Amino acid sequence: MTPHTRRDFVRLACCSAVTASMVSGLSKFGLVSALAQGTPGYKALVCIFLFGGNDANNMIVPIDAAGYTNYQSIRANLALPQASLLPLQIGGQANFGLHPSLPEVQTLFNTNKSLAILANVGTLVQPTTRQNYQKYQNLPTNLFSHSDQQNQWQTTQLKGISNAGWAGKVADKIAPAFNSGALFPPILSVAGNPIFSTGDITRPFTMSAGSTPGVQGFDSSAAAQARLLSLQQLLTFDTGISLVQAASTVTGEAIQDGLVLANALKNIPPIQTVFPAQNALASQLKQVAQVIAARSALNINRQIFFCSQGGFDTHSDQLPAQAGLLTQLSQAMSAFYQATQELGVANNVTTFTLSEFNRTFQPGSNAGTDHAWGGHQMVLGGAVKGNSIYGTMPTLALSGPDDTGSNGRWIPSTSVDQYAATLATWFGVANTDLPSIFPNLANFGTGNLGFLG
Amino acid sequence: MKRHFIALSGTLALLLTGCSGLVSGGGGNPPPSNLVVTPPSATLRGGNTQSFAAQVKGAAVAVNWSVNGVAGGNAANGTISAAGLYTAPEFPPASNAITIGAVETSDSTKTASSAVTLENPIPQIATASPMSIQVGAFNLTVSGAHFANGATIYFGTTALTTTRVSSTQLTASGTATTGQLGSISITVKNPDPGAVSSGGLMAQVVNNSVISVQVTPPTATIRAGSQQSFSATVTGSTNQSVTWSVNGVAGGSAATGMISAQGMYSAPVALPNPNAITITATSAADSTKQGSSAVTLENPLPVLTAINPNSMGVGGFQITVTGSGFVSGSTVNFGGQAVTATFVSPTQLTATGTATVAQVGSVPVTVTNPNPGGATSAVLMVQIVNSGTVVSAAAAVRFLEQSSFGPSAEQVNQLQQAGFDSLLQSQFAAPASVYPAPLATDMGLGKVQQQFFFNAVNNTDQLRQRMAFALNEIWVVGENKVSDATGYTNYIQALTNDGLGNYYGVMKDVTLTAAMGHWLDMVNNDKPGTGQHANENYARELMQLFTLGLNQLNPDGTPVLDSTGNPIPTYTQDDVMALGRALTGWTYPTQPGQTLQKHNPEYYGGVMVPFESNHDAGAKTLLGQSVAAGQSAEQELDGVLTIIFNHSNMPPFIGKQLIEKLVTSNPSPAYVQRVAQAFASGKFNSYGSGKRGDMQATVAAILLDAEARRGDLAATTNSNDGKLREPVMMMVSIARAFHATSDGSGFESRGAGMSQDIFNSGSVFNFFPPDNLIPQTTLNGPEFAIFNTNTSLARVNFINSAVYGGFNTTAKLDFSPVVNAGTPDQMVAWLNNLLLHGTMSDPTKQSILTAIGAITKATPPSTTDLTNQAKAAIYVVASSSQYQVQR
Repeated sequence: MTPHTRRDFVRLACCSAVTASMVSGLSKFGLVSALAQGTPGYKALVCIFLFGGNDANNMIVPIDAAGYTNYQSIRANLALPQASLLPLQIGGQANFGLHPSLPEVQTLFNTNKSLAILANVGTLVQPTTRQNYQKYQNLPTNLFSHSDQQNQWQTTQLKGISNAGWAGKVADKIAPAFNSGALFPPILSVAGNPIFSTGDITRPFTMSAGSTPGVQGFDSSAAAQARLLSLQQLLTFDTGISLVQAASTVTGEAIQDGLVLANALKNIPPIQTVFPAQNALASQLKQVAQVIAARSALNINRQIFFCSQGGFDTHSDQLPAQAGLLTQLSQAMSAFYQATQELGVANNVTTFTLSEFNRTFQPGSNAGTDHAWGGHQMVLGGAVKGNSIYGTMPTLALSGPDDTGSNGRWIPSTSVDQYAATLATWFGVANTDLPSIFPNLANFGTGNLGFLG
Repeated sequence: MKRHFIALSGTLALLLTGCSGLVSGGGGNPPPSNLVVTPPSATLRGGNTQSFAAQVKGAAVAVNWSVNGVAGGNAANGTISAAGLYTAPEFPPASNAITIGAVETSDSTKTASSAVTLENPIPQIATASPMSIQVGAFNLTVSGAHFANGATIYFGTTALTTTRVSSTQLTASGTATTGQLGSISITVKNPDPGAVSSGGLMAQVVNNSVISVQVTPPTATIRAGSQQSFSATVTGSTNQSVTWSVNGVAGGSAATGMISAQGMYSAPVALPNPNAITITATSAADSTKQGSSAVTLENPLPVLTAINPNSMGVGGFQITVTGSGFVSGSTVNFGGQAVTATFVSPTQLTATGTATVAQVGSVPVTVTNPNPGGATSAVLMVQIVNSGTVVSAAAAVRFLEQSSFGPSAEQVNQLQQAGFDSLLQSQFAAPASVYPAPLATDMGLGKVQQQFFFNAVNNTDQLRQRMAFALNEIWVVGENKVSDATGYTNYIQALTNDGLGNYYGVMKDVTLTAAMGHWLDMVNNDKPGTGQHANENYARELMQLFTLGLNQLNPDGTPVLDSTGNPIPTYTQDDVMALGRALTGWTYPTQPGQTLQKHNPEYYGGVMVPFESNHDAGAKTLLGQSVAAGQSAEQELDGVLTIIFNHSNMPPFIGKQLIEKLVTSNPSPAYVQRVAQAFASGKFNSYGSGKRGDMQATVAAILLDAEARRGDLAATTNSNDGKLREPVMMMVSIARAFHATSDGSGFESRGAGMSQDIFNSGSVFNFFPPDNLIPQTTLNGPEFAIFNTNTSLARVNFINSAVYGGFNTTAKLDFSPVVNAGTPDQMVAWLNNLLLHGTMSDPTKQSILTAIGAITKATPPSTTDLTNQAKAAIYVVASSSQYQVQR
C-alpha cells in the first residue's frame, strides 16, 4: 500500500534507537545514492501557506499617481503612505510598490530577479465575471469560509468533499519515476498535517522544526528492548477497528521514518546561512533547508515541503498586525533562498505562497478588513522567471467590474488550478496527468502560466 | 568704719605734730592739704551706694565731688551727689577702678580722693523654666535680675553654655542624666570682677518615658482558617497606637496568618511549620517597646456536608467528600474503617475503598483531622445497596469514557450497580466546578489552564465539564488574542454554568462575554460610517461554526442537495452583513466608577454593554426573516439569536458535533436524527424540560442511544465506531485511571506537544474541525487532523513520562492496583478491563506477557520487580492505538 517498504520490526528492535542496521541498510542503495547525490535531478517545491487570508491589497499597491490616489481614496484609514511603498522595477518602470515590510522581497524581485508575483489568484471553477457571480453560476462553494477555502487552495476540489491534496496527488504521480529508491516519503511538513500533503497513496512525514520525532525511554537493556518490541508489534496487529488501524499506520511510519531522518540528518554539516531569530516561519524554512541538505542520504529526488505562517485574518487593527507578519515573511524567504544558494540548489527549489483569500478592499469598522477572494501570491527560486507580474491586477473599484458586490472582493483572474499546475509541471508531472489532479484546469485557456523555466 | 578710724588717727597724727608744719610764711611750696576724704577707699558691687565725707582736721568742709574727674559722675562709672553719696553703676565699666574726687569749694587747690573698686552685682534668680526636666536634652530659661555679661547658669554643679538675653534673662541648653534624677539646684554666677553666685532654685529631673505594652489575650490556641481579636494596652505614653506583626513581620504573611491594623488575626488555611507563632504589638511612640502573645495554631474542625455518590453497590467505590476544614492528612472513616483518602482541597477529599456485603444498609462516614487540634466531623450516612449489577463492566467503562474525563476501577464498579440513569441524575445535580477569580498578579492564562485540569481530574461534575469542554471547542476563544485571565475565566465559567442548561443560554451568554467580544471583534463593532461596512467577523463565525454551519442540513445531519447534487448554503453574504450590522453597538463593560462611553476601555470584569447610538438600528433581513428597525442593541441581539436558534439546522448541526465530542466520529444519520430530535423537542425519556435546546435531554439522548451502547457487547461492536482520544482527554483519563493527586499542573505543556495547548488553538477553528477525513479512507476523524508522525510519538512519549518520568511525579500516579494485581496475567487483565473494556486480543496479551517476561525478577518477585512488570504493561497498553482510540 505504501511506496516504501515495511521494515522488519524484529530486526529494528535488536538495536538502539539510532541504529547501525539502518546505516548498513543504506549501503544496499549505494548505487542509486550516487546518482541522487548530484543536484541536476533534484527538485523541491516549498509551500508557505499564509493562514487567515493575507490582505494582498496592501501587499502590492499601485504607485502611479492616478492609481495611488484611487487606492488611497477607498482604502482610507488602511491606506499605506505612498512614500513608504517599495517600487517594483520592471523594465525601467515601477507601477506597483510592495508593502514597506518587504524589502528583501523587493531585492529578490528587482535585483536577483528570482521572485515573481502572480496577480489576483483565487479558487475558480471556470473564468468568472461579476455577472456570473451575482447569478451564482458555477462558483466554488463557501467562498468566504476559512476552512473551505483553505481546503480548496490545498486540493483544487472546489465543490463537495475533498479527499486528497494536490501536492499529495502530485507526489503520487512522480514518486514511482523519481523516488523509486527513496528511503523517505516525498512530502515533509513542518506545520502539521493539512490535506495538502495527503495523496491517494502518499502520506506525509510531519515534524516540528528543530526536533526529529522518535520514541523516548529505551536503553539497550533486554527489558527495554522487549518493551519496544511489544510497542511495535501492537502497531502491526489488525484489530479490525478502522480508527485503530489508521492510528497504527501513522505511528508505525513515525517510528520507522523518524529513524531514517534522524540518521540522515546526523552526518550533514549545519547550514551556515543565518536565519532570523524569533521567527517561526524562518525556523520552519531552516528545518526544510536541513532536510534538503540531507537529500542524498535520503536517496530522494523529488520533495515537497509544507510550511505555514498564521495570523493573517486581520478583521481589526490590520496595519500593525500585517506589518509584523510581512516582515517575518520577507526575512524568512530571503534567508531560505540564501540557504538554497549555499546548498547549490537555488535552481532546484521553488518556493511559493498560498493563502485562502484576499480581503475586502473597503475597510471594515474596526480598522480591519473582511474575507474576500482573489489575491496576489509570490514564487521564488532560481528557476523562476522573476522580475515580472504574471496575470492581471484587478480594477480597484468598489462595485467595479472585478468586484463581487460593493465591498471590493475581487473576482480572481487566475485560478489556483493554473497556479498549481504550473508548479506541478515544472516539478515533473506529465501533461496527461494534470487533469486528474486539477479537475478544473481544462476550463481555462492555459494550464501553464509560464513563470517557471 | 575702720576707714574712719584710720582717717581719724591720721588726723590726730597731724594735730600732734604741732602747727609748725602748717604755718609757713614765705618759702616756695604750697602748704600741704589738710583735706581728707573718707573713706579713703572702697569696694562696691553694682548698684550699691557709699557716702563719702570731706573733712579738714576733723571738721566737715564743703567740696565739689567728682567721679573719675567728672563732676557728679556719669552712668558708666557711677554718679555722686553734692552730699557725697556715690551710686555704683549696675555693672562695672571695663576698667573697674574709679576715683572719687573732692575739691574744696573755697580753695580749688585743696583736693583729696578715694579709690573705689567696682564689682559685678549679686545675680538674683526669680524663675527657671522648665522646673521639671525630662532626662535627656533640655533647654532652660532663667529669669531674674542683675545678670552680668558672662553670667553662667549652673545646673547642679555643671556650668551650662549660657546665652545672655538681657540683664533679666538667660537661656542655656544641657543634658540631664539619669544620675541627676531628683532635685537639682539651678544657680546663676556672675563672673569677675567680684564673681558671685545667686541663690539656688530647686528644679526636678524626671524620667516619665518608660513605655510598656500589654497584649490581650497573652496566649491563644486558634484553629486554621478562623479569627481571633487581639488588643494592646500601652502604659507610659498618651500615644496608644501600636503596629501588629506576626512572627516579626508587620501585618503578618500568607503562611503564618495576617493581622489587621485593629489587631484582628486571621489564621491561615494551612498550618505553618512550626505551628507556634507570636503576635506582637509594637508601640508607635517607642518602637523598642513591645508586648506579645504566644499563639498555637491547630488544624481546623472538619465539617462534612456531602458525599457523592451517597448510594453505591457492593465492591470497590470512589467517593467525593465535600465539606470544609479538610487538610492534607485528613482521614476518611467508612463504617468504622479508615479508607484511602486523597486531599484535593480544603473543601474536597476523594476516597477509595471497598464496601462489603456485610455493610449493606446505612454506613456512617466521618472525616478526622490529625493533630494539632485533631477532631472528627459529624457523621453522614451513605447507603450500600446490593441489588446486583445492572450494567456490565465493559458498558460501565464505555459509558464513563463517554460521559466523564475517564473512569477509575471504583467508579466502574459503582456504575455497574447503580445504572446509567442513576449516574445521569447525580451528574445533572452535581454542583458546577468553579474557576476562582484571578489575582491581580495573574498574568496570562496559566492558572486558568491549570484550573481546567484540576477540575477535570478531581471534581464530581464530570459530565458538565465534558459539555463545557465540548462547548469550548465549538465556541472557541483563543489565548493568542485573549490572554486576560479575568476575561477567560468569565468565559469558561459561563460555559461551565450553562453546560447542562439550554443552548440559547449558551448563545447569549457567550456572545456577551468580553472575551468573545474581543476575540471575534464584536466589541466596538461600530455602526458603519460612510465608506465602511460593519465588522463581519463575529456574524460569520457565529453562524458558520457556533450554530448553523455552512450548508443546509436534513434533520439527520446530511446536507440538503440541490437539483445538481450540490449542497445549499445556509446563509448568504448578505445575511452575514445584516447580522454584522445587527451586532453593532456593544463595548467592553464599564469599569467601576467610570461612565459608559462609545468605546469603553478594554476591561474584562463583566459582560459587554450596549452604547445605543453606536448601534445600527436600521431594518434588516436575516435568514429570510425581518428584523424590525428601531430596536435597542439588546432587543436586536435577542431577536437575531432567536432567528438563528429556531433555524432547522441547529439541532442536527449541534447534535452531531456533540455526538462526535462524546461518543463517536462517525454517527449514522439515524443516530444524529434521534439526538437532533431530543434537542429540538427538549425531551428524551424522562429527561429535559421540553424546551428546544435542552442540553440534558440532548446529552441523555446521546449517551443512552443504542448506537452509543452497541460497543458494550463484542457481538454488536461496529468496526467504524469510536473516536481518537484528543490529547487533553487522553492525559486526564490516564490521571483518573491511576488515582492522580494533582493540582492541575503539568498537563497544559504536554498537551501543547501533542498540538492541543488547552485554550490556545490559534484560531476560531479549534484544534481540529468537526469534518476531517482520515487520510485514504472515507471515515470522519476530527482528532486525526492533529495526529501525524510528530504528535503520534508525542503521545507515546507522554505515556513514557506518565509511567517512568516527570509526569508520573507531577501527577503522583498510583500504580499499586496493577502492582498488587498478582501474576503478570492478572496485571494484564486489570489493564484490559479498565483501559480497553475487555477488548484486548490474544496476540496483544501474548506480546505484552513476553515483554513482561524479559524483566529480571527474583522468585518470588520483589515489590520492585512487580512494579517494573506493572509499568511495562501499563506503558505498552496505554501507548497502543487500541487505547489511544476510544471505542
